Amino acid sequence: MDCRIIVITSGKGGVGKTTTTANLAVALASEGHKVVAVDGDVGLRNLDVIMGLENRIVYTLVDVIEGTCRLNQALIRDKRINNLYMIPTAQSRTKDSVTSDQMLDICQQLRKEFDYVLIDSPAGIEAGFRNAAAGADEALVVTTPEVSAVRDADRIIGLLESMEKAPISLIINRIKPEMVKRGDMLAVQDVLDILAVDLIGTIPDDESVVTSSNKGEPLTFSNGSEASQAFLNIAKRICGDEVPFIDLSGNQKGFFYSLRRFFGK
Amino acid sequence: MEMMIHLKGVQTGILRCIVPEELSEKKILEEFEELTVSGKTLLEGSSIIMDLQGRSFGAALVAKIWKYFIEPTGCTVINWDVTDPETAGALVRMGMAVGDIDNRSRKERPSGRKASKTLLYTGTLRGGQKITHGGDVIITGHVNVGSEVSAEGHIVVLGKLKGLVHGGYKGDETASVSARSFESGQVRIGRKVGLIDKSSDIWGKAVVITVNEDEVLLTEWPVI
Repeated sequence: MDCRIIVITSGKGGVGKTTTTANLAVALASEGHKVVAVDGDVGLRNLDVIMGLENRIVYTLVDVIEGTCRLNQALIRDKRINNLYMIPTAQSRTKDSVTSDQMLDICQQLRKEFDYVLIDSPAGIEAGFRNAAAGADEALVVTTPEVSAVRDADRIIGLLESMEKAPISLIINRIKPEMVKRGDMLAVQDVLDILAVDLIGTIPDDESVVTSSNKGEPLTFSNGSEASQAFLNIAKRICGDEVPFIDLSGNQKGFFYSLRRFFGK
Repeated sequence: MEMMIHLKGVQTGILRCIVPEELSEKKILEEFEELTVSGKTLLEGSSIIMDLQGRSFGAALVAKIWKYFIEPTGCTVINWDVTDPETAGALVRMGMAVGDIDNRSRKERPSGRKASKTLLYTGTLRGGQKITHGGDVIITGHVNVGSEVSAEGHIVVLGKLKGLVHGGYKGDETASVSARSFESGQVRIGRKVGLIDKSSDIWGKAVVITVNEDEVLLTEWPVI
């Protein structure tokens, strides 16, 4: 298959780009694809921590760009799963250590070797984002159902459209169904009405995300949580499968809910 | 040396250029040349009433005023105010607007806006995007929060208006703004700013926004 290079971005910081990059990388590798996750956040790297590979770093993306090492020397193979690799970035450098042309060149080299290249973009709309997006064909925009995050997502989608990235797909992260039901949180449809891009996944707010990040074990390795399943579903959709969306409207009525109502609780 | 030609504000976007009768033609052209430099910012795009008072003149002076003043500054002469009957007759035969402009109704006055093509923007304007256009603007999608549209003429938004729009942004208060769903806290026409609260009855409805008696007025788009 032709390589797909996807930038994961958001505009707003802290909405779950790195977590999404890590979990999708694992999920896609689990589907049998050869995947590399690239940390595009020069100076504030986190992908290595979320993936639990920080102790394996020898060379970084910046070392490759500066010619200190070859590209394959910077690749870290994740021993927990076949076909999954990561390229970390430098923590001690800044965004201007990399140019768009250099990122484009790196992506062109990776395109020859991998089925999927996932680039974790930094927050913001400046050079860091532009460099991360430079080599990508398509984009995943991550947002949370909050007005400020959606506003920033709208800005970033406009920029991606002007950079002719396509398709641009949306992931809505950290949905709390009870808050949506009370009207205290934007519903999925509210977000879609504003952003007007295709939805590729919704992820419920889940404490296990925090635990997995701290442990360096992406959820999609084995965790059976709803968030884990949501990431797996997104990976399937990226591959072209049709997977129903999890209902996060807050109207779910399971057996125990009905039982409680029967007993008047 | 103090200039003899004066520019006087008449109303928003319209200046009266008063040329004293006693000035020689040579002096007129010298002062116009100076004005094109010192008054460039003020004059560019402005509407001018050329007040030559009782002076008697013909096409030759008109051509020189064009060459040394109108063309370099980018202004538009909307009226020639002259009291000499023969001069007035000659200007009328040349196709110029002549007479006391203050007696014309406000709506009859040309806006002085240069004719520009209407800009049709297909799609939604996203946050951070901005359109500035010298004519009318039609947006077929939404104007999202954080986006801006500034038009010298009218603005029509066929989707939701949530961002900032400024119709008649060079001072023309005859411009209007229309939107299929009005959801913005602020709208601007000419030099007027309208502030609307989310609790207003008009919020989320189709509206036409104009300036009427110096106030921004929102009226519901007529339902067919």
